[in-house]
Amino acid sequence: MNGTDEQRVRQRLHEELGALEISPAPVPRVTGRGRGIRARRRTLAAGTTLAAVLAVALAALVDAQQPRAPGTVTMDSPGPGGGVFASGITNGKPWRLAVRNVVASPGAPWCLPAVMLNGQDGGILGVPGPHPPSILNGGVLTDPPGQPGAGFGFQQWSADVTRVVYRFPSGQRLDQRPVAVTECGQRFLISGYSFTQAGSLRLTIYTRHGRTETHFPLPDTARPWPPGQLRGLWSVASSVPATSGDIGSGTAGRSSWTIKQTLGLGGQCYTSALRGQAGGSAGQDRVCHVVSLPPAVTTLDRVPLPAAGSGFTAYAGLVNPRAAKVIVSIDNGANLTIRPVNVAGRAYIAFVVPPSCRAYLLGLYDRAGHMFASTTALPQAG
Amino acid sequence: MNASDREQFEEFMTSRWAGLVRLAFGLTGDRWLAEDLAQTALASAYASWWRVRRADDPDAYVRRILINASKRRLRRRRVSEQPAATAPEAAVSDPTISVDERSALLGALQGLPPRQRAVVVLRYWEGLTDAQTGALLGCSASTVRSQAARALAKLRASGELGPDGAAPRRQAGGSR
Repeated sequence: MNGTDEQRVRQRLHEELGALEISPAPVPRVTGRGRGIRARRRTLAAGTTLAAVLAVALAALVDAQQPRAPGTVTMDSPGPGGGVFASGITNGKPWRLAVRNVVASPGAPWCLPAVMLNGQDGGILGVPGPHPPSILNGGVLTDPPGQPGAGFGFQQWSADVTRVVYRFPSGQRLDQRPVAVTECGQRFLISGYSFTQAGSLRLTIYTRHGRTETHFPLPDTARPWPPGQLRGLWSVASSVPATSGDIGSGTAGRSSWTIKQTLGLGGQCYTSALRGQAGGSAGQDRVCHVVSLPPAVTTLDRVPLPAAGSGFTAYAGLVNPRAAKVIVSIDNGANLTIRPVNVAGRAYIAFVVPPSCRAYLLGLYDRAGHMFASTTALPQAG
Repeated sequence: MNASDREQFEEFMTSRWAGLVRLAFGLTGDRWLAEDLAQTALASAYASWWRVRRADDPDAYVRRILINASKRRLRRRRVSEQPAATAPEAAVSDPTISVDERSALLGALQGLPPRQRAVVVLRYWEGLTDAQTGALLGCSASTVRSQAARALAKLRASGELGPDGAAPRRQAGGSR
């Protein structure tokens, strides 16, 4: 390529293209075509959206018409101290059922065993009640957080049970040897399972003395939770002695407040009460949560106050059992010093924050006065 | 599109129309097709005017639409061409187009492969850099340079770039 050739091409193009007579710009014709293109694009976009919506709806319809695959259940031998008695995968999500002490760290004088799903959603194992022979206790949990559409169950057996065969509504058969788990000084012979279909669960129970059969209804795992009902709460057959006690009190404006905790079949509940200056009741309010293990720092929840305490924000929850003192920093410059209250081995705190203020730091101090944990992740008002 | 946008577009179109038709004519060698391609490019620009208006270089945006439309037309023509058992009647050519308007160099350009033709027109008529030409054609600047060299060699071989630069013109009657 040489410069002369380039120059010649440039010159000739300018001569020849430049000499081309050009008609006036057909503005109306071009804008008309442009509007047509735009209209076609819009139609195409609308059609694509409609097709996508129809495809999703069709897929959902097909999915709904297909029978649900039953949950797959495998059994584990529990590791030392782990308390796991059943595990598996349901709807593609792994799960573990274990017996754990939900009260405090090992060695504490208090102990309260519970069945936990994946380390959460505890169902307290109570005193064995009058149930069919060989079955001391049992519980069912449906549609817990993190396992949508799945159900879980367990049975606690008498010592003579050697084998259990479950027959699920889906047709799945599960042949299990109950697992012995020791927690809180008690030995639990226990088995667990998962299910995805409602219907009758048939059990064949083998003991050293023979064989018995029984059946239980399994609830619908896809049933929407009624408003106000606590999601992730086990429905346990046996009676459970609830532990309860006041965990905090103080004044909020012209009223005095108290917060009480109750731990039982209804979960972990906090009840707030206000009293007026004359000592008359100004109402009560209550909130319940799923039972959880003692936290490393805190599991703090907002607790509703009766209307008379409007503007104030109440908190209650568990703290690490090591905490001898808790200091809560409020953004108005005040610090609240709280002594955790021990109820049945679990360490609770409760406090109230004035209107338009916010708690932003919570520090835990041991008996020697050293802060060993803190958090700024505190639930806020609104 | 509001009245202000319409006015802006009309101004844009009026000022760019001639340049786009000439560019398309250089690419296709067909006057009416060139006008159609220019209209297509501008109509697309009208349909996406909010985007064209905000582009760093609206001219490059419209040029790209035009070149892409030209490529599509070429592909369609290739696909739609079917061999016939009997030769169609010979078309009567319009002397005002084939001889007068598509003169010597432009006629030789039509003998080049489409990409080389586009490189010549964009480089020497539009005056774009190798990088700008490459960006429009979807190739590198070095490819543009090599395509330009090959195109110039072919044009030189065709005799359209005579040693004195005065290449013969196919003056067959009519005036421009």
